[in-house]
Amino acid sequence: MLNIPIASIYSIITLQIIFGIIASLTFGIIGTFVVVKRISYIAGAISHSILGGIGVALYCQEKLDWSYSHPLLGALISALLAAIIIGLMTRKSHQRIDTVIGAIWAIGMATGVLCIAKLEEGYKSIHSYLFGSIALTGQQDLIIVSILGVLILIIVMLFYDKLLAICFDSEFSELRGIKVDFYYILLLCLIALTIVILVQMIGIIMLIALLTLPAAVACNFFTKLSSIMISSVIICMLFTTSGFFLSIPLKSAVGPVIIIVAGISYLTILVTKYLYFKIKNSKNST
Amino acid sequence: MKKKLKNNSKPKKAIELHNVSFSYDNSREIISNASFSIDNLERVYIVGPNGGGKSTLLKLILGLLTPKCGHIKINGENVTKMRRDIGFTPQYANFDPLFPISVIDVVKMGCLDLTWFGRHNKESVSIALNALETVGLIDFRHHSFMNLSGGQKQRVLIARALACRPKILLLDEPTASVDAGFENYFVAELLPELSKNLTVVVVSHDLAIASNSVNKVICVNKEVHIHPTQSLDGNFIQKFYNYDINFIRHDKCINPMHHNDCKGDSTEC
Repeated sequence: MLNIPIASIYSIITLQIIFGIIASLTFGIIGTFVVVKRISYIAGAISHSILGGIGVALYCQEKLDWSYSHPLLGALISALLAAIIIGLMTRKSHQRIDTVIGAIWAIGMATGVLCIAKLEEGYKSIHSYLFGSIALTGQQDLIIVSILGVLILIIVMLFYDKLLAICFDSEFSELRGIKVDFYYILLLCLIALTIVILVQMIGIIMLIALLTLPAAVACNFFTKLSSIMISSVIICMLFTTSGFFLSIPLKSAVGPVIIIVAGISYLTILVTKYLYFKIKNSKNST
Repeated sequence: MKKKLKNNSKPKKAIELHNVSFSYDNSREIISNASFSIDNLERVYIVGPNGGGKSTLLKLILGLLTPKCGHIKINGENVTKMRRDIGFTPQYANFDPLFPISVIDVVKMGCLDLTWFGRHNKESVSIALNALETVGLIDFRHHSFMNLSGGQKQRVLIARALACRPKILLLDEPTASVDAGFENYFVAELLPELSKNLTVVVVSHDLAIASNSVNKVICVNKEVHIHPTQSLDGNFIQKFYNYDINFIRHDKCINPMHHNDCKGDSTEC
C-alpha cells in the first residue's frame, strides 16, 4: 500500500477540485455558444481530430527525440487547424458541410491511430487523453488551464455582442459591417481551446457531453444568453465537483462519473419538465 | 453654404439597377437584364411567383450577391459602400425558434456599428428603445424573442432595421405567416408611418396588399417589369404568373385612400 501523507492527499484533492472549478468557467461560457448555435457536431469533429495531433506529437517525441513535442501542443495545433478549416469551409465553400466535418473527424482519428500504432511506450499515455484523468493533473496543468480560461473569458467579454449577433443572424451582422467570417472562426478557435483544456479532465470520447449538457440544462430555465452562460458555469461546477466526490466511494475514474451525473441530471430535468407541462395542460383542459 | 450644397447634391434615386443579370452557377439566369430605379421616399412592392427571383433581387440590392453583369447603385454610390444605409428585415420564420435572446438585444443589433468593439453603449440602448416605440413594442423589451407571436417577432425585426438608422427600408415578406390582424396593422398603420421618412421596398407574394398600399409594383419573374398599381390588371397577372388565377373581389378596399385603384378585374381590392 502506498504511504502518502494525509496532507498531500488533501492538497491533491484540493488541486483537482480547483482545476474542475476553473475549467467549468470556460466550459459553461463556450458550451453555451455551442448549444445555442447548434454546432455540437463541429465541436465533436474538433475534439476527435485532436487525437491526430496527440498521436503525431507522441510519435515525434519517441521516434524523433523531439523533447519539446508535447502531446498537448499537438492537440492545440490540430484543434485550431480543424477549427479554421471547418470555419473556412462553412463560410466560403459550397461543399456539403456535414461531409467536411465527418472527413475531418475521421482523418484526425485515423492519423492518431496510425501514429500511436508505431509507438512502443507512448501508447500508454494515449489512454489518459481518450478517457481523461483529472487525478493526474498537476500544478502546471492548473496554471495552463487558468491562463487559457482567462484568455477565453477576456475575448468573450470583449466581443460578446458581436458573437451574439453572428450566432443569431449572421446575414444581418454582415450587412452591419461585421466581419462575420473572422468572428465565426474566432468562435470555433475558442471552442478548440476549450476542448484542449477539457481533454485532460474528461477525455476525447466524453468531452462533448460536458461541453453541451450544462448549457442544455440551463436552457430549460433561462431565456437570455448571458443568464444561460452564468447558470451553465455554476451547473458545470456542480457536475464536476459532485462527480469528483462520487468517484471516491465508487473507486472509479472521475471523468465517466462526471458525465453520468451530467447525463442523469439532464434527463431528469427533461422528464420533470415534460410531466409538469402535461399535468398543467390536463388541469387547464378540465 | 457647404450644407446647402450637400443638400442640393442629394441624389433623387434611392436604388438604381442598370442591366443587372445574375445566375448562381452560370447555367440559368435568375435575374435577366433588370433595369429600374426607385425614387427617394417612394413606397414600392416587389412581387412575383415562387422561384421567380424576388429574394435574389433583394440580396443583389443588399450587396450580399454580386451581379454577373450590370451595376447597382444605392443613393448614387456603390452598393457595398452604401449598404449601411439600408435597414433590412428578413422573415421571422428564418430564425431558430429556440434561440435565447431578449427583444431589446435583437433590436440593439442594429447599432453594432456605433462602437469599435461593438459593445453596446447608452446611445445604442436609446436608439433601440425609440425603434421599439415606433413599432409599439416598448413594453415587450425584456421579453424573450422566442416567446412572441409571429406578428410581434416581425415587428421586432422591423424595429431592428429602424435601429440601423436607415435611409432605405427593405422588408422581405413581412406579412408571410402572420395573422390577419398584423397584416391589417402593417398596411394601414405601420407602412404609412415608415414611409414618411424612408424609402420602403417590400418583397411580397401578396398582390392584394401590393395593389392597395404602394406607389409602384416591381414584378419579378426572371425578367423585371415595373407597373404603377393602376395598371396591374388580371390579364397581366395571369400572363406574368403563367397560370390561371381566380380573383376574389373584396367588399371594400383595405386602404380607402387608394379606392381609385379598384377597377374591374384588377387584383384583390
